[in-house]
Amino acid sequence: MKLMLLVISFLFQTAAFAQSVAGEEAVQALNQYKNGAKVSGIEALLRVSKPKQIPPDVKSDWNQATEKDNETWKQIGTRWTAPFSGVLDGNFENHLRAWQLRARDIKSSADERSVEELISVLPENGDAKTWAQWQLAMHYGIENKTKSASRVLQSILDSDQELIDQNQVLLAVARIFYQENRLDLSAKYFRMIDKSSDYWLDSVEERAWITTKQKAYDKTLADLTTTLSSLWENKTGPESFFLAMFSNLKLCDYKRIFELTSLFKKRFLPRVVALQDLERRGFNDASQYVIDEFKDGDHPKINSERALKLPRFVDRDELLKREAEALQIVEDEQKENGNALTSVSLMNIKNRIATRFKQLARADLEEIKKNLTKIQLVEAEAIQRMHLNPKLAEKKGRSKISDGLSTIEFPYDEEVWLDELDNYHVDARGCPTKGG
Amino acid sequence: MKTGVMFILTLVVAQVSLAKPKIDIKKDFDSLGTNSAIAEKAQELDPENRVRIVQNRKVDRTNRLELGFNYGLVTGGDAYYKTQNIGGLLEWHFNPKFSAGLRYSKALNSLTSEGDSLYKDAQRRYQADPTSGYAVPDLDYPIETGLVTVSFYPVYGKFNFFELGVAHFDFYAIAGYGKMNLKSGQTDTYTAGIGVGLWAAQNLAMRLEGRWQPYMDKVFTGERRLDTVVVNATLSVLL
Repeated sequence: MKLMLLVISFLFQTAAFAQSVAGEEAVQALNQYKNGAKVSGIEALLRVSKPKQIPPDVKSDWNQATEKDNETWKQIGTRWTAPFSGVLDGNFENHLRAWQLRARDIKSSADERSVEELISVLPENGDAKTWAQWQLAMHYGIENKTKSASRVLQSILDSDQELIDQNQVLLAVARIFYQENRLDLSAKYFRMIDKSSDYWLDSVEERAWITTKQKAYDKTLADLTTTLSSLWENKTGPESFFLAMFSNLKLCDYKRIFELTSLFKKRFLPRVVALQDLERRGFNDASQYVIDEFKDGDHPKINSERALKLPRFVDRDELLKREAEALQIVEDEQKENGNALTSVSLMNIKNRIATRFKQLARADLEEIKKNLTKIQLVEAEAIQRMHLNPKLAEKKGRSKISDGLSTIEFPYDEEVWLDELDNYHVDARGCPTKGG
Repeated sequence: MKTGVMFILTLVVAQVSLAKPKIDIKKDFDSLGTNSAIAEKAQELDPENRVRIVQNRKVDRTNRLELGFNYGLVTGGDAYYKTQNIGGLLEWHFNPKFSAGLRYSKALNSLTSEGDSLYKDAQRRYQADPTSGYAVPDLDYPIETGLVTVSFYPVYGKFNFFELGVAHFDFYAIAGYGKMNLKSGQTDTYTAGIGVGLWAAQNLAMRLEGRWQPYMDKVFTGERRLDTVVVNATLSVLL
């Protein structure tokens, strides 16, 4: 009996101690928040180890403090988790949850329902709602739930949102139609993407896959002539090279396959070395430039020198942009009210930035490796075919390409004219005979 | 002891077989396209697939009206006067290859230096002695010209306009027939020539053309044929 009383008493004291520690941490974070260091204040709160132990009065104080805050949730990188439910004001919490949502976080039907409910309570045309819808659409697309993805994407298109580039949404719609094998509709949406958009080159490359599926390899090569142009050497991915080589294999243009192999090596080998370094260290001078530009609210200009050292499309990575903006805010908070909490926030943000660069570098390297393997297979197949079929067939005549007086034709000499991009046509003439 | 050694060996073998093979991307890159004999053979098997650029005309001239203002210089006519033209054109483009139109020009004439000196000399003689004879050339200068023309545009091209944009152009051949009003009266004329039309924007065009334009004039010695060359620059609006 006495022992039992001792045990019970010990447990209560432990619980009270835990509550006081959690409460103490939460109060410190609240003071940080109220002193103007809002980002580091909330980040400090989200680092409380046992949030369920935060006393109700401290929770109530946090609720009141964040009731009218309509923007800080955008800069919080530390993940909100379910144990923190009820600590922050309800509206702030919903915005934070939505803003931190990633497609990969949605793992089950229950998660899907939870996200749909969250979206339904968020204000219309708000950034958090748009972001959550976007992540949900990505999830549905990845899971091949194309009808659900289409529904969510249609909501985004119908809204007045400005967070997600309209061309990016159209690209997603085109991809959904491609997944459903509705190739004509997919091509239609790819063509709706503005030529001045950052996503236009992606649309041309992905459109080439449509014509590949339709076995119109000459049209595939026509599209890829645009993507492989020297104008885009900073942005063209390895998949364009593989697809071009594959199409040339189908058209028996072995000469072109070897030309593309040389070009592929020339463009990607230097990048591989730099990306491996970035994957290891998480930073380099080019990555620092990107973060500095994002901090100033500018769009980074990736010239050819920087492009060699950076993952593709790093300039449009939303997560890096947010972390850079948060970094700027916390650096300002550090200058005004520097303390241990802001220092920890600063360190965490920098670590998250480095981790993100490593993730992007790793993804690029994996893409290069995957396509390199395919390219090796194409090369091997080309070599085998050349051995088996050493003679050329009777060449068919040139086909008429232009379709009327309103179109004009010019020869292609690899000189790039901006008005000619996406206007290439390939006249394929035939394949070697079988046998020697 | 023997069991212990076997156990350790088993562990080592298991470790080696479970270890992931090292992925060397650079080595895989180096192995691409290294067989030069194969690459040469590939050159021989060239199927001559060809890439061409096929694009829409920037300015579509199908069923469009062109309204222009032009300025021209006339050469090769009478030695005693020179003519400049100002005028206009109205051209209907059936398609980018053919057009038909109307041209009108008003002649602005002035004496050449030779003609001017002859007239001044005659004036001086007259002033010195009204009874003495003098000679001045008989001038049958043009007043205005109207032509009906047809044009054929067989050759097109484009150029990079000072990095500001790309402009398309067409070389064309022109032929026409019309009437000229001279000082002495009306006479027939016809014309043939070549030019270049620059389609700067959807509604803006420029032309530069050279035309041979013969006609018969009447001087005191009788009718004579004058073979003139008209060089015109036109600025027009495409409607």
